[in-house]
Amino acid sequence: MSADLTTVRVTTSPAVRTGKRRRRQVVPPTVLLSFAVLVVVLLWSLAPGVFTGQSAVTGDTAAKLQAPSAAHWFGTDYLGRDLYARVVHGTASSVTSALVAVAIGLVVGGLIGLASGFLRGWVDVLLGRVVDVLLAIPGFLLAVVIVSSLGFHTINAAVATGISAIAAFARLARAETLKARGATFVEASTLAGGSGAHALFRHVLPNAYRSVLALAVLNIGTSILVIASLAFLGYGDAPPASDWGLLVASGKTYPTAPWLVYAPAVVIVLTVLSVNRISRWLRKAGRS
Amino acid sequence: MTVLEERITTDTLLTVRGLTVAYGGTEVVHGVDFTVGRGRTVAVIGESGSGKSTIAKAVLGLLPAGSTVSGSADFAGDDLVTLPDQRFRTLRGRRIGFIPQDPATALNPVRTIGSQALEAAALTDAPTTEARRAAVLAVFERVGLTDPERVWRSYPHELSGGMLQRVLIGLTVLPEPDLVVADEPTSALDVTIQKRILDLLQQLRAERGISLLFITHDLAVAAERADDLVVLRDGVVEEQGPAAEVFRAPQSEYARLLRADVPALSPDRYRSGDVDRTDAGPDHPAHISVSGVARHYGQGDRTVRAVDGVSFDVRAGTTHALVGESGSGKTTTVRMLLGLERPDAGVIAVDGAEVHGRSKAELRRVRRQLQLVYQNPFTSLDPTWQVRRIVGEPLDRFRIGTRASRAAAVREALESVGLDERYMRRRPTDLSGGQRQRVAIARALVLRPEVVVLDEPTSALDVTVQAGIIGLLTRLQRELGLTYLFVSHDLALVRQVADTVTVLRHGRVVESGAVEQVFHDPQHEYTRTLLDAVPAAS
Repeated sequence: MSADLTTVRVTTSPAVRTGKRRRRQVVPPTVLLSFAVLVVVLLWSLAPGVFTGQSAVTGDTAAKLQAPSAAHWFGTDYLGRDLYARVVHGTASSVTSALVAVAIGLVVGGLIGLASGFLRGWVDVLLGRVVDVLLAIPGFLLAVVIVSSLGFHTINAAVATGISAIAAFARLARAETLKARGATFVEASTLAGGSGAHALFRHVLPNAYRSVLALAVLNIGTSILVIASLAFLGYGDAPPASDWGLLVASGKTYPTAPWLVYAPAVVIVLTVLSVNRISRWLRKAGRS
Repeated sequence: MTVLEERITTDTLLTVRGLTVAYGGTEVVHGVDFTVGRGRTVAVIGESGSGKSTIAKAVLGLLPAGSTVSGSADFAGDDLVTLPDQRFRTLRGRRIGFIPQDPATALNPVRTIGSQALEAAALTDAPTTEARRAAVLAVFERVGLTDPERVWRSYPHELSGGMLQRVLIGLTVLPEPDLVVADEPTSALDVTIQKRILDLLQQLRAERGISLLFITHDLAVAAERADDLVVLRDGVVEEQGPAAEVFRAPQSEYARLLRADVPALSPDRYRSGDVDRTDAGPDHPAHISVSGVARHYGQGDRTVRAVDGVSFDVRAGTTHALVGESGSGKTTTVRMLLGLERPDAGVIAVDGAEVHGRSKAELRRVRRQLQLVYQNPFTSLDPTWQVRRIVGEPLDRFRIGTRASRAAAVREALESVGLDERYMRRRPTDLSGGQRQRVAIARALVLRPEVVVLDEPTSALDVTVQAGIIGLLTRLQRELGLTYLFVSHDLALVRQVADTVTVLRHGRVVESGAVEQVFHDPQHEYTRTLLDAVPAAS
C-alpha cells in the first residue's frame, strides 16, 4: 500500500490533453493581406517622402485635373498637385488622429468600466448613469457638438471622436470585469493573502482586457471614418492640409474628375476594412 | 432458467459491429462491437473522452454534421448507421427512447410540462388530445410523481431535478420503446435521488420488457444495475461481458484499475488500520472548533436557513468529513470557516483563535494556517498565469522569504504533488484536470498551513484521476501532519479518507461521530438513506 502511494500516478484525461486545447496558429490569407495594407499605411504616415518624390502642396497648374497615369498614380487635382502625394502626406494626420481618438476612448472608457465593474455599489451606479447619458446622444452628433465648441482642428476632431467612443468601451470593460471578478481564482487569490488591488491588476485585468482590445482595434477603423466625415464637413484642419476626408470633400466639386473622390475614398475603405478584419480575427483567437 | 428467460437472453435487439466515428479528422471511436439483448441492461462505462456519449449519439442518429460513421448498428433489422433520416424519425422516440444527462436543460423553460408532454404523446397511438393527456397523467403517476395534475400545469423551474428526471423518464417510456438510451441519467442529481431514479428505471425495464443502454462513468452504479458491461477507453472496448463476471475477475488491466479506484468497491483502500487517530484523549485539544454556527439569507417569511446551529470539532492531524446533499449547507459552513462569509450566530475558532470579529490583518494571519482546495480546478486557476506563479502567489502575497527561497519552495511544493520542473512554465489551459488539481493542492500547501479545506476536491475529475489525487492527499497528510476538512457528497469516498464525519441536512447536523461508527451503526434515518444510496456490486 505504501509503495502504491509514493509512486504518484499522473493521469491525463484525453478530453483536456494539451494538443487539442492549444490554438491552431494558422493565419488566414485575408488577415495577412489586411496586415500588409496596414503596414503600407503605417509607413506612409511615418515616412511619406520615401513613397513619393512629388510635393503635396505645390503643383503644376498646367497639368491640372489629369486622369491617373504612370506619372500621377491617382491623377492630379485642380491645382495640378499629385493626388497620390497628397494622400500619402495626409496619412500621418488621419492615422494619428484616429489613434488619439481610440486611445482616449480606450483609456477613459476602460477605466470607467474597470472601476464600476470592480467596485460596484454607488460607484457603479454613478458611472453607469454618466455612460447612459453618453449613449443617449448619437455618437457622430456628440462629436460634432464637441468639435464645434473646441474649434475646428483635426486634433479636436480626434478628441471629440474619442469622447463619443467612451461609452462603448466602458460598457464592455464593465461586463468583462464583472465576469472576471466573479471567477473562483479571484477568490482564491484573496485566500492566498492578496489585496483588492492585487486581484484587480493581476487577475481581473489580464482576463478582461482581450475583448476590450479587440473593440479598440475595431474602433480604429470607425474613428478613421468619423474623423474623415468630420474633415469632409470642414471640422478638421483647413487646406492645404490633406486629411483623407478633406480630400474627398474638395474632390467632390469636380464631377469631371471622379478620381479625386474615388482614390482617397478607396484608401479609406481599404484601411477600415483591413482593421475590421484584423479585429475580428483577434476576437476569434481570443475566444478559442 | 425457464424457457421464457432463455429466449429473452438469447434474443438480441441491437447489434453494433465495428462502429467507428470520427469528428473532422479525429477518430474518437475505433471499431466498437457490442450487443444489447432484449430486456437486458447494458452499461457502457468509461471516463471522459472515452467515446461513450458518441456511441449513444450514433445509436440515436444524433451525431453532429461533419462526423463520419462506419460499421453497422443493427436494430431489429434496420442498420442505424446507414438509415436515412426520414426513416430514422419513425424510430426515434417511438422505438428508441432517450433519457438525457441534465433534466434541467432538456425541457423548454418557458412552456408548461403538460404542453411539452403532449408533443411526446403525439408519438403514441392515442387518437385524441384527451386520450393523450390521460396517458401522460397515467405515466406520470407510474414514475412516482404524486400529483400528476400539478406537474402537468407546472413550468420546469417549479420542479426539482429528481422530479424533472421522472417526467423525462415517463415521457420516454410512454410510446413503449424497445430500447432506451440513458446518457448518465443521474449524474446531475443527489445520491439519494440517484438511487430512486435507478430503481425506477429498473422497475420499468422489468415491467415493459425494455432494453436499456446505460451510459455512465460510474463503475459502481454500472456494477449494481447492469446485466452486461462494456468497458471503454479512448474509443476502444477494453473488456466486455456479464457484469458479475467482469466485476469478480476483470481480465484487462484497465478494468482492474477502474475497480480498484472506485471508492464504493474498495472501501478500505486508504485505511492504514494500525492507528485510530480519533481517540486522542481529552487532553488533546480540537484544532478547529465550530460551535452553534448559523447563517440566514433573506428576511421575514422568506428567510432561508442555509446553516442552522452547526457544531463540530476537528483534531489536529485528522480528517473530518462534512457530508450532505446539495442545499445541506456544507459549502456555506466552509465559507464561514475561511472567513469568506460572516456567521449570524456562533463561533468558529482555529487553534484557539476566533476567525470572525477580528481585524482584517488578523483574519489574514488565520488564513495563513487555513488553505482551501476548490471543487473545480478548471475555474480556480487563473488561465493567464504560469504554474510557478500560481503556486508562488501565496508566498508572494504574504512576503515570505527571499525570491530564491520562494522559488525553491514552489519547486518543492510542485514536486510533492508529483509535478516536475517541466510544468513550472505551463499555463492551466495546457494541463489536464488531474494536473490542475495537483497545482491547486500545491498552491494550498506552499504556505505550509496546518489546515487544508478540501471542497469536493475530486468531484469534477474522473475516477482514476480521483484515486491519484486521494492517494496524494493521504500521503501528504501523513508526511506533513495536515488537518483536513473534507467536504463531499460521496459517502464511499468519505469512508475511505475520513476519521470523523458530520452529516448535514437542510443546514442542521443530523449525525456526527467517528466514520466507523456512523457507517456501521447509523443512528439517524437520513444517514441510513444516504448509506443505502451508495451503490454496491451485487
